[in-house]
Amino acid sequence: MTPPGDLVPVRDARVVPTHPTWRLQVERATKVAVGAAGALTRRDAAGDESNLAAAGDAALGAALAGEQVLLDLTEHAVNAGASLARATARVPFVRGALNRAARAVEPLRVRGEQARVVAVRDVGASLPQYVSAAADSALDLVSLDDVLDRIDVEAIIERVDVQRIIERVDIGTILERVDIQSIIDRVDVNEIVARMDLDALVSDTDLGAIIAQSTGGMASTAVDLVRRQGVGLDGFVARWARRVNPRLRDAPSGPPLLMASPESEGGPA
Amino acid sequence: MTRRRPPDDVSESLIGHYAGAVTRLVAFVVDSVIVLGLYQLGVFTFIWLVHVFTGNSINEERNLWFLIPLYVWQFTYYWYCYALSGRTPGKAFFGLRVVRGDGRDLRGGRAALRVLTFPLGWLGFGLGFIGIVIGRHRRGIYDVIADTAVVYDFDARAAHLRFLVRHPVIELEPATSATDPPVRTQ
Repeated sequence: MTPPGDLVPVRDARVVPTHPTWRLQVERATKVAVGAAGALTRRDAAGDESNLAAAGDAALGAALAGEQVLLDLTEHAVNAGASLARATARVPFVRGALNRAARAVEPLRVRGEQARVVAVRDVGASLPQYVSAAADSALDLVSLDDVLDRIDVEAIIERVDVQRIIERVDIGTILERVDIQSIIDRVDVNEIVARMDLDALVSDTDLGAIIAQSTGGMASTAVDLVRRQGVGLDGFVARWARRVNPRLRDAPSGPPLLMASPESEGGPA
Repeated sequence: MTRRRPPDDVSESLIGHYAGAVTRLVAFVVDSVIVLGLYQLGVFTFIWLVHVFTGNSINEERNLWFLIPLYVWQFTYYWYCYALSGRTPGKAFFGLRVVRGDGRDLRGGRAALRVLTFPLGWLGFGLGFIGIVIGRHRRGIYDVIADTAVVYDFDARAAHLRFLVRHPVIELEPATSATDPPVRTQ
């Protein structure tokens, strides 16, 4: 029984064979190759019972078994060679020769290291450009209509909570950022007026009455002037009357039926 | 920047409000001029026709019988105008209208009663008119008897707006210093 934690009792421990890095990389590359081949042939699920599929799987299994045997043999050979090399290197004559060879190779190693660093740096710098170009080429090959046909837009919309989005929107902040004056300046008022049904506007609103009342000539101007002067004098007299008789301050402005009509607003002088 | 504030008298519509004494007095003067002018024109025409067809001359100033057609003409003038629209020409010019005490339109009978009782206003050296100035409903004694009232019948606010259209408000920029005059802008 394994206690909590990472500690393992000695009696339960067993040696887990480890493989060298180069073997792990080969096995990973094999797995990637098998996966890519399966994706290209659209064989990503088990249960295909056709003869061709069975033959393909059998060949793949044989290849993997062969690879496993080959890797085991290679690993053993490498391990044996390494042991032999380490034993040989302990011989003084051979060690001296290897040291001299290492000193002779050192300039080449430095040169190779520099070339590798520069190459990695250049690739890193130009990689986005290559990726962008590759993406453009890929998009050219892809038909967006086909992609959109395969997308259920209605299902996406149904999953969107529009009300929640609206509640999270700060209308006040948006309006503060909007330059209303610039919007107004860009509006073509003449075009809007041209689209309006002016006949209906005049007939359905008080605008017609205002226009009719505003289109008088000099006679209308004179009458307005006389009336306004008369109203002004009436107000002057009424103010003095209120000083004489303060009770007039709460007097009604007009007959009750006329005061109830919407046309009667405000109070007289 | 200062803006000329409209007077309170014309800042709101006055339709239906009791009319003041000055406007009513001036409207009465105008109506009197019209009534007497047309009467004199009729009398002169009548005298001229009598002279043409009979050769007789009539001196109206010495004939009290001429007062009868004057009173009839005055009654007809006021009664017909009141019964028709509540306005005489003078009242229409000044934007006035005669209505019943509660605001309804005037009818023939009440219009006749108002015209017939109007001379009572002159009793006591015009004390019958004092209610127009100091009365709560601005009614003379004849208005009280006939249960009528005189109200404004024109939109003072619209008249003020028309005035502004024809005479745009002049705005004055405040002077930058005590010695500089205000700057006149449109």
